[in-house]
Order: sequence, then structure tokens, then C-alpha cells
Amino acid sequence: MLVRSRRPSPQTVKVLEALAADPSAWRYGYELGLEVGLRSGSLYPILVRLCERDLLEAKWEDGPRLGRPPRHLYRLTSSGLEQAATFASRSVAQRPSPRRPQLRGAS
Amino acid sequence: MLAATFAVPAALRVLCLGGGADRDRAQLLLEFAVRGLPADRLDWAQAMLVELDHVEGRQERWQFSLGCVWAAVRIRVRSREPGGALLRVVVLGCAVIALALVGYGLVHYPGLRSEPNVGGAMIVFLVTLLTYTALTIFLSRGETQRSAAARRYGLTGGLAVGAGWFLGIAPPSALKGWVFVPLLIALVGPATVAAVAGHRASDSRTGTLAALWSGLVGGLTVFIVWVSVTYMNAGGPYDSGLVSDFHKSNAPDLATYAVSDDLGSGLVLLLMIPTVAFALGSLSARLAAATRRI
Repeated sequence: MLVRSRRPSPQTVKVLEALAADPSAWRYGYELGLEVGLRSGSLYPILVRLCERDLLEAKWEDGPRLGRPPRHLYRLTSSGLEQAATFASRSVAQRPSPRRPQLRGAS
Repeated sequence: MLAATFAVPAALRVLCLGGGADRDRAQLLLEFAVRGLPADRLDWAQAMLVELDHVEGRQERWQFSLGCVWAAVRIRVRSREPGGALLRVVVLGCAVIALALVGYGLVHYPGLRSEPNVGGAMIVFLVTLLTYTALTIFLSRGETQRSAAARRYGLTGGLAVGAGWFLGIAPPSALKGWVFVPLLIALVGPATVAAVAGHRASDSRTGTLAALWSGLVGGLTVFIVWVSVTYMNAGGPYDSGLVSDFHKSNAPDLATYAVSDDLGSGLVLLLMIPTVAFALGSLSARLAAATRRI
């Protein structure tokens, strides 16, 4: 089977890195957007795409909290973690200057 | 008519929410935007709506809501949900034919290109076609019974609406005394289509969509037939009023003047038929839904 190896956008890499920083934790969309500096208009299409490619798993929160409906939670799948690690290592290898800051969440 | 159907009720609803209700307005906008998402993306629609509930601050809520509206558009565009191929073929095919017909007119009647308002008319024509095409591409997909019913009733109703309009504005001699009948069909048709589709699916949105499809199909088919007949007759028959107007104009010849006049009428029909059908149809679908609830 032919596997697509097109490099994702810098925004997608940011999301992967942020999720890979704590792979076991389930994250909320709004907080994730604030952390990576992405507006909802960019974040949600990225999350949908990652889910379609089985790089991200999504689930609903268990039970409502304080009378509010349950929120959607996200974390990387094992293939998502592999992809995040691959892109992080590529970013490090392509980095021209060693003085630039390290990518957070890269393994 | 569109304003009376949508803008006024929407404005009243927003006003009724009162001052300081920006939370609800941002939510209303998002609720409206995610309505068009396909069935397999409804989880994402709900996810964005629930997330908005946790955003604090007026500006942040509006930013988040507007961003999600943009996200909904992008998700909709990328959706490859099956269904609706026939409707897309019909509407997009008609749009291509309409474009080709206008192109043919500009080549065959070079005088049209030097008409004073041709630039503006071409912009309106192209924007109209693009809008119809975009609506069809974004809203026609779906394999649910409701979306299939909207398309089925919309297509059938569109042909009836188109025939009604055409016979109403250019009646054959046998129908001269009964011209109100096809016009009645043209006006009542979308309302009937919307009410029946909405009733069958127990959903007013299905009725509104059926009215939209009937308007688009009706408007495009009337435009194509109208312009084709115009070219076949070189804009004729020429009545005395037309000849008199021609002498006052700077048109190079009578045929060019008559064709230009008919193309203008065709453009008005292309705009008016879908607008009237959609407005009447959605009103009828809402009334039918309200009647069901009583």
C-alpha cells in the first residue's frame, strides 16, 4: 500500500508536538488552541484531519460537569506519536543554527 | 422578500435576547453555521458548540465563534460525503450551458460588448452563477432520507416551476387567456414542494432545501430556454415599442438591441426565480412545521 508522506503544515506540527508533550493526557480543544497559538478556525480542521488519518483519537468527557454538557477530548494515537516524533526529529535535523530554541514536546 | 423571510425574524430574535446577550449571539451564529455540516461531522459541530460554552470574555467568545464558523466552512468543503450527484450534474451542467450561451451571444453579436452596462451585468451574472454553484456543491451532499427527499422534491418541483415561469412570461397563443395558471404554478409550486417535502421528512429544513433546489433548477432552466429561444429568433418578434426604443439607442442593429434586451430580462429571471422560490418555500416549510406542532 502506498503511504502518503507529505509533510504537514507548521500548524499541524505544532499541534502534534503539543499533544506529544504529554501523550497520555486527554486535552480540550480550546486550551490546546491557546497553547499552540492557533485560532479555532485553523485548529478544528487540523484536528478533523488528524482524526481521519488515525493520528488522533477523540472521545466525549465522562458525564457532565457542573451542569454543563460533556466536552470533546483529544490525544494522539500510537501512530500519531510516531508521526510527531518523526517530524520533531526532522525539524531538529533541518535546523540551521544550534542556538535556536528546542521544539517543545519533541522526543 | 428574502429580508421579510429571514432578516426580519432573525433581527427580532437577536433584539429579543436583549443587551449584554453576546454570549447567546456568538452561540447563535455558531449554531447557524454548523447546521450545514454533513451527518458524519455532527460530533465536531457539537464539540465546537460545547467548547464555546467554556470560553470566557466577550471578545474571546466572538473570536472563537467566528473561527469555528470558518472551520465549519472548511470542514464542509473538504467533506466527501456521498449522495446528490444527479442534482450537482443538473445544476452545474445548467450553469455551464448558461455561461456558454452568454459567451456565444457576446461572440455572435459583437455589438453587445460595447453596450453601456455590459460590464456590470456580466459581473452580476458570474457572481450569481458562482453563488448557485457554491450552494449546490456545499449543500447537496448526504445520504440521509431527508437530504434525498429534499433533492427529489427539489428537482421535480424545479422542472414544474421552470415550466410555469416560462409559460407565464412567454405563453403560446392557446394559453393567452389562461396565463395566470402557469404563473400560479410558478409561485405556488415552491411553497407546495417545501410543505410536502417538510411534511414527509417531518423537518422544516428539508422543505427549505427542497425549495432552494426547485428555485435553482427552475431559474437556470428558464434562463437557458429563454436565451436559446432569443438566439433562434434573433431577439424577435420585434414589436413597435422595441423598434421605437431601438431608434433612440446607440445599438448597431435591431437584432443586437433585441438580444441585449432579452439577455437583460433573462438575467432578471435568473436572479428572481430562485429568490422567490426560496423565500416562499422556506416560509411555507416553517408554517407547515408550526402547524405540525399545534
